[in-house]
Amino acid sequence: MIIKRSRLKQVWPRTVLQVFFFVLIALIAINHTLDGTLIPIFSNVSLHAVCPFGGVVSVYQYATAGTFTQKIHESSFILMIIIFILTFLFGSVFCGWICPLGSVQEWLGKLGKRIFKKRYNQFIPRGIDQFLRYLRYIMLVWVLYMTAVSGKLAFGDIDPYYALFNFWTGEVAVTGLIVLGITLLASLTVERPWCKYTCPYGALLGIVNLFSIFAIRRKESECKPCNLCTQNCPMNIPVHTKDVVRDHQCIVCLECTSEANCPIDNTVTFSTKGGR
Amino acid sequence: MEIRSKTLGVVIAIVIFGGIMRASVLGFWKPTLSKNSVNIQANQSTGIYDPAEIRGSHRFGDISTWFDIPLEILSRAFALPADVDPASFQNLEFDSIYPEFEGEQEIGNGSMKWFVALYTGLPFELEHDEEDTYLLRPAVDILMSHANLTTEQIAYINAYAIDIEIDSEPIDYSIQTDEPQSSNQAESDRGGNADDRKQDEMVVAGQTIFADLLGWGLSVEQIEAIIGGEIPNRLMLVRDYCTDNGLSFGEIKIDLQAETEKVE
Repeated sequence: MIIKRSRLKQVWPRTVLQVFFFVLIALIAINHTLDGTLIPIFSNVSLHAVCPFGGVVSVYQYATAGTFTQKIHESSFILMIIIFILTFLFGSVFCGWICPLGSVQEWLGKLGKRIFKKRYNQFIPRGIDQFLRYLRYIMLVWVLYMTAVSGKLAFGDIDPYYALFNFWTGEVAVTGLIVLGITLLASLTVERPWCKYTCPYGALLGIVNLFSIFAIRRKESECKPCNLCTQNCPMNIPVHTKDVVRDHQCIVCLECTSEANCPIDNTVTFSTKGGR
Repeated sequence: MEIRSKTLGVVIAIVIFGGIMRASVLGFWKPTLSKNSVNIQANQSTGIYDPAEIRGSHRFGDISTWFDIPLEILSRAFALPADVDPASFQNLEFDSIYPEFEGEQEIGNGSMKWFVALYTGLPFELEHDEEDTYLLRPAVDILMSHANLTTEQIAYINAYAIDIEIDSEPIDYSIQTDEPQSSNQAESDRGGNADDRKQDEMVVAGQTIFADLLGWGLSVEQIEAIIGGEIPNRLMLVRDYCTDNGLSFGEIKIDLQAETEKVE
């Protein structure tokens, strides 16, 4: 059965969560700037305290010395564990549903689509694009190594997420602001450039994607060669060629599914093995 | 089993906030600095603590022990009120005792790191977000009196000093030091205070220059074997040489001290 879908039937719950987490993190950052006076219930929680990647970079120091990397708190560890549980279950939902930096890139991308139409997200030749996508693993190894040997947040000075929510404080390194600027500008031509090419946390979660319980699955017998699933994938994954999307770049945005852009019901679904 | 976006959104929210609530009930959710001080670790090879490791949760008493700085000095340097117990005072409590300073001047954990580093002669660099860090005038006075500072360091800490009024009795900064003597020329170059130094002790420290080592009986070959290169200038600080060449001053210092003791 072919169903024409209106924009209202897009994956709106994801948008709701993206906006919610963006506002939440922005409020936490502003509240911290004001020494916790804006929203007393948040206390004086810093951005580092609510970043699960802080837990990841602290693992080595915690295991060897029993202490946390500077500026990292126990809460980062808790969030790290929660996000790992979510990722084992559903894949990189953190990237597609929660991460405010990913959301901002996505929102800017909508403007880029209006400007560049069909050329949007297609500027980088496929060969180069495929190579660049492994850069984030180099970044991941570098960040983990430097943090382990220095005991400091090696990533801090180039972290666009921290820069995005602290640019008004004067605490952000110039390099962080430059990386943020490049990321935002690049978002006008490429969908989620930071996520695709550089994000160390996305790299780590992407590995878990390869064996998560739920995954995007395509029923080939019902599929028509419209390629809408592939065309609407922000991460340029060729969904129409796969039975199961086990891709380290998938952000589980569900844009390829029958709930969103696939025109045939129950053909591309987010499900467990054998589940339809 | 298939899951749709509405269900997925609800499950994500439940897992995250349910997980946080669960951790909170169990006492694991701590998003702010703990009031419980966490010990820092000494370097395994040198046994020396790093000032950069000092955190807001650390108490003056801990810092005094780790860096061998008298508690009274710390108390005076940071102008703690008389009714405050310095041993249990934490760096994160600075905001509670100081008034608002002008502009972006800040006395905080960075100030403590900076003071400790200058006082002990240990290498340290302020992090980016600590660039507005200042010292109180009493701390600067103590450092001027006690620590072996370069002329550049003296100028720098004076530029970053905050003058405050202190109600307590006048402070006696005449603290004895264990730093070694250096050559006269180097003393004038460094704006140092040679009179305060115990001239007979052969202790490798932050202000030790190569001429000191040679004067203590070490040969050029011995020194160069340890530092892994030629001595560029006999009046150069060993610490500066290490910094310029990416070496750990703490480790070089240990080796040089061991060699010095053999000569003794």
